[in-house]
Amino acid sequence: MSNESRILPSSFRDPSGFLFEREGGLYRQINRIYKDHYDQLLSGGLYRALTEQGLLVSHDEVDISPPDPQPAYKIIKPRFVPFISYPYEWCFTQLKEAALAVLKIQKTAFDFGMSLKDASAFNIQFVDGRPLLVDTLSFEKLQLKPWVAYRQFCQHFLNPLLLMAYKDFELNQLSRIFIDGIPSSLTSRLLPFRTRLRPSLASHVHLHALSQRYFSTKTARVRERKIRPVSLAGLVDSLESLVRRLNLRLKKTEWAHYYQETNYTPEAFEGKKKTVEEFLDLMKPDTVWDLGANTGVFSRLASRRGINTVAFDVDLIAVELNYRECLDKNEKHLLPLVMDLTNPTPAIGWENRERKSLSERGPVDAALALALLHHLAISNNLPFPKIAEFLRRICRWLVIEFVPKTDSQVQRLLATREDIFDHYTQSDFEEQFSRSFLIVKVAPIKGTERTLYLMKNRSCP
Amino acid sequence: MKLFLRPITLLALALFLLPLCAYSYIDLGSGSYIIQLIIAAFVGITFSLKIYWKKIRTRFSKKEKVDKNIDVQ
Repeated sequence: MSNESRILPSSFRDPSGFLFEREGGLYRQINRIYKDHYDQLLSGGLYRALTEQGLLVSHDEVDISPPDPQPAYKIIKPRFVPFISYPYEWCFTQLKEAALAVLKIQKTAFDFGMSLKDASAFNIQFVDGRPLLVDTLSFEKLQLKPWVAYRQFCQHFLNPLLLMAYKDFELNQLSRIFIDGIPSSLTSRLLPFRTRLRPSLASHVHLHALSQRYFSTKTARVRERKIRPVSLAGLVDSLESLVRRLNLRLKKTEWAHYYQETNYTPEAFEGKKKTVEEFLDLMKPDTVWDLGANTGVFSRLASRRGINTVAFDVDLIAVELNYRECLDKNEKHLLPLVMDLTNPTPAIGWENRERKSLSERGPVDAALALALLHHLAISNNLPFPKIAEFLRRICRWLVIEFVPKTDSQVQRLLATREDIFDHYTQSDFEEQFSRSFLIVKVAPIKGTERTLYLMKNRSCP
Repeated sequence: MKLFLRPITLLALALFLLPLCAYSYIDLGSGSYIIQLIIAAFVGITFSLKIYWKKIRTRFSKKEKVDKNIDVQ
């Protein structure tokens, strides 16, 4: 096996091929075992149909030496995906859009005599604001037998969507614990009783769970049964209509306060935006992470400049609103994601290497940390050196806002607790951050007591 | 709990009616496999009806449009 290639730790389940990195590029080796299916994908027209619809990642066949020559058939170079995100970082509508994309792909595949052989949510990435299947090896020639990916689709998409829609929208976090999707048995137990009265839910979830339980202790001897094409199409159609009808049920009041977040004047707000824009023009980053982005007002200052921007927020409703705006305005450079910065996504899966942590997906060119510091330092008791160290590991440039104790937002945080934060001062902040960052610009926000800083990571060239 | 007994009975009945043969052993996915066969059988029928209904509607709506065009002319 070639030394200069690094096989991705997440790419081991499917014997059809694997992903590897070489000299900064990402490639996929296709093994001979998959030759017939790959050839049909390309020559049968499905690849073209799906890439034209923006549903499947495009690729080029390349002539480089395979890392594992013995089983190799071809090497392909897929289109670059700016940021890899995971289902437990998606809001409801992102997961719903991803589920509908998978079902649309399956319907299109039927038309070309093929079918999806897996339906993992990890194979979907958001590119240009839309869900995209990034695993070219997910197809097989259509056989008139039950859909092999049915259980995986239910566990990865249907079950978390149902739990979010019928129980609590924060339950998407269960996908982090159950790496192969939320089991139907657990979903069935958690869903309210009324879901048993709807035929589609009763069959795809409750009877599904019963059936799994019934057969869990038995070895069923079942003939390879043929299934009529109309039944296969009907199954996908039934899942599609079920998913399409699902919506987040929230009270009006739960949405309302996102539109009145700030405690300063419109002039001060505009001044802050202008300063951030000036800093962006100075940094000229290719990628931006907005940490604590809320509904993405400041993230859009970057994404509208064509910079690939990820807008992280702990609040799922803020992320939901942000993504809906992306859809409405067809925004291609903004990716809103759910992220608790005090407990960021860890590395999970086999050997803790299958799915990456947040910091493993960095460093980003520039991070925005606006109105964030006081939440980390005061609400979460994080000392400045720890915050600076975390930010030093994830970004090359930093735009950070200092909010003094006299600010009403900080006063609100201190209202119900003892002020043990003697070190929460602007001079201490500058001193501690100067150890990791070079302070390039300091810009007080007019009409407020707040200050914006542009900093450069000392450990980056 | 009684409400669950009926689906279980239906499931068992369906399995009994399905011709089982010793071609291959299937693993823990067998529960999903069986329920999919049952669901697919039902939704296959409704999906066929849906397609025919759409065809009928399309035919009639085309006729209506043609009629309207004739009226206008």
